[in-house]
Amino acid sequence: MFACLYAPPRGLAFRSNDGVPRAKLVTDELVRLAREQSPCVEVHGDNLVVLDATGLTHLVGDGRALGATLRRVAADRRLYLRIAVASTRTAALLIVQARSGLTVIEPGQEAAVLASLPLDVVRALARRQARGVTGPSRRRVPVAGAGLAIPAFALLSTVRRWGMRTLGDLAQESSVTLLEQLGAAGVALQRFARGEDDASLIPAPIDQRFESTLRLETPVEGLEPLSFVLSRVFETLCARLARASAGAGLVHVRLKLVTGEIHACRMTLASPTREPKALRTLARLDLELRPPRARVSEVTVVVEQAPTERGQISLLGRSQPSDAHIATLMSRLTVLVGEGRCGSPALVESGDDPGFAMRAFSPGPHHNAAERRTVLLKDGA
Amino acid sequence: MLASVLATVLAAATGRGEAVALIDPGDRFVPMAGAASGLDLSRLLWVRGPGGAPPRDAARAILQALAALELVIDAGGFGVAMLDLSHLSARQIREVPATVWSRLCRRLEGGKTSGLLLGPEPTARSSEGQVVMLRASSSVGASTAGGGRLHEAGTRPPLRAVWEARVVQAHRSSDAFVTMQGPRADA
Repeated sequence: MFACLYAPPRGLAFRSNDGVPRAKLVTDELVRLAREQSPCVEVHGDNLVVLDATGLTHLVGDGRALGATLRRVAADRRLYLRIAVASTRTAALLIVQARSGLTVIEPGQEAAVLASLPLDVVRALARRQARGVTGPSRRRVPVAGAGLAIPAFALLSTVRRWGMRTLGDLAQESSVTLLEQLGAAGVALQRFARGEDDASLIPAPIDQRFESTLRLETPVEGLEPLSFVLSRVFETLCARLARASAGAGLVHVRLKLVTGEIHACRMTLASPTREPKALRTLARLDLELRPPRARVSEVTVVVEQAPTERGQISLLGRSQPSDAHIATLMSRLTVLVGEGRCGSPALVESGDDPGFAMRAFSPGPHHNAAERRTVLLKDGA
Repeated sequence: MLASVLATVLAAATGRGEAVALIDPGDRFVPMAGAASGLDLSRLLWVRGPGGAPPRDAARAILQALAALELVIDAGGFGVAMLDLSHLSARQIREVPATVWSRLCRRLEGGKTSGLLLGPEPTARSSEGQVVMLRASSSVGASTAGGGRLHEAGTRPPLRAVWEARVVQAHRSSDAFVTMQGPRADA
């Protein structure tokens, strides 16, 4: 059983606060709403998501109960949605392109319900899928379920010339004729018009928020006790990062002081890590440079995750300092000897006078002579 | 003369794919000379001291350098961690408490990092460590300063130096002499 949620280009979802008539994106809200019913949620475009509730009847009820629940929850959140519940994902996706409100299709009735819909719903759906999802900084991201996009989209104009106007016309056409005239793509288009699924659902990855807050009964003063508090917070967060196979790319530490002020620091890591000791040390070194002005009553750490680098460790190669250790080491050395006094020298040609500049120390993988030659050839050198 | 030894040791280590660290409180290392010796600079962690410190700050510079060396050893993964104290006098180095050297030796024990201390005289005496005395025996156009001094930037290096290395202390008694010939500077 699939349910499709779609916020159409009108209604409350498309009223922006700045007065500019711009489509308001509620994709994230729809994903959160859908995940309350099922963990399997697929995003098909802006404001268009599908959830798979197969096998969850004992939890969410039958199609009508699920539809009613979704409509009630959406109304509570002031979302004007089109909702379709069907036994196939394709049928649910096509229905919401044409019908407002809640539509529940009984199993086996997909083709009959879809028959009256115009062919334009296929075009509208294909366009939304091809447009992708608007990600952060307004960048378009291809949808994960792009496999559902109709490969025979260009054939629509052909079948329209044959006099077909609705999905029912296309569904009733002989498959043999479509195969002979349009090839396999014609048959795929017909199956789509009947509401049959061709590909399995690809669940969207769960975007976890890694944040931990610790309220202290007794405000702490000084770096040593604060370091203990931080290590407890980092251990919790790193365990969650490990479960998500992610690392910390950016760390925000917010300390609430007894005066009500917020002391914030931000650490950008050279490479993603989930080692609590390394993170605590970096936070402590930062706090040593800029200590809080009063006692701390609350500690909040927010970690922005980054995919951890996966590399094959060589059994025969020399051991190398790990990225996490290098980040900690460089921070400590900088505190000890000062900014710009440690790192790797890099030769710089400035006219006839060769000089050098200090760069960040990052040894990277070692290539022997043969490997180095291969790398140079790949680089085109 | 020690500049050649320093660069050769580090270059050999980076050639094997190791990461190396040079703690240089005197700020006397010349990257161009190191690169000319085959040293892969991208695998070198260079910790520079203030350089040109007046004698009264020497003690602080030594302690800072030792702290940096301990940090490097603790981080692990380095093939060679080198501390260059050759610009200091023996009297200045003797002011460092003996316990500091013992602590350093213990940190190196069992690890994969080789510690190398360059100085004007044997300093960090350890039953597990080795002391190699280098002495220029003959050269053409070379400085014959006893004990060895790094070549200052801008001074003319020797055309060809021949020096003698002697193991004067080891956990296994040895009295070997090795004669090494330095590369031609104009090569």
